[in-house]
Amino acid sequence: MTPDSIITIIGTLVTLLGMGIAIWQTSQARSYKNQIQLDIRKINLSNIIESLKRAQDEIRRLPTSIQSAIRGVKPSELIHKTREQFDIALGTLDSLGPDASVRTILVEAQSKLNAYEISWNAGSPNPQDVHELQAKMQDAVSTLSSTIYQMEGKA
Amino acid sequence: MNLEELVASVEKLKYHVQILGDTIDYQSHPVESLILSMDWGDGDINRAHDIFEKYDDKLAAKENVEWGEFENELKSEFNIGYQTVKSIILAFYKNHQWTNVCYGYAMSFEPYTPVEFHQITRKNSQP
Repeated sequence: MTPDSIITIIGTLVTLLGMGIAIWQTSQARSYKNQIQLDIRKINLSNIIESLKRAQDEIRRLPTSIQSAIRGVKPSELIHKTREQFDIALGTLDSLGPDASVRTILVEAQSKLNAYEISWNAGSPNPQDVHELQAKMQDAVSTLSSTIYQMEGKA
Repeated sequence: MNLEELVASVEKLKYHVQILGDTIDYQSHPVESLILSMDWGDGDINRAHDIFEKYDDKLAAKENVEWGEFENELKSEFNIGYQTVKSIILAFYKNHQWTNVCYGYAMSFEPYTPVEFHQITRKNSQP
């Protein structure tokens, strides 16, 4: 074996090693990217859960009849605040993304809130709307919590 | 049942109510918790509502509100100090009651708002 061919072989080996390192780095970068995407989604979902829990607290205080209205509680304000929380959640969830099902639940909940507002303004609040609204919120929070558990590999 | 037995029964009931009161979660039932801690009756809480309502009406009518006057009204009505006024404000606010009045009162301290009121002043620009 001539010195030339030895140098060629070494050169080829070094090139192959370089290629291997490049491929490894690319795969690492892709996995980091995936991890970051996963972390961002997890943070977003946690924020939505916080918003929805605040909305649940407000919904719990919505009077189900004119007689049960508590002094100093303004349902119109509660509705307004709840709507703000819905906006935050709906603005974060993509209608075509992996959490589209939660978005659908929230859109349904929003329409229940609108129905309640109409009935409240008409002077005969419909308790059914509040109960269904509470159930929808519970569904959304449970689904989001399960998704986070799954992402963390706990379920 | 003679008078002594009646007194003993009432004392026992008071003790039981106090124990039940201690089990109330302040976060979920701040006003109920306040009523028990202040030993208020139905009339007392209504008087507090009346004061808040008076100032809520003033806010709704866009009248100029003197928050020192509001504070003094609560103090003299219930013979309480500033710290207790703060507890009443926080309890009502947490219960979503009279939020505009609570917000207005808390904002009157700006820029030296007590830390306890940050949950009111920093949550929203306007409740």
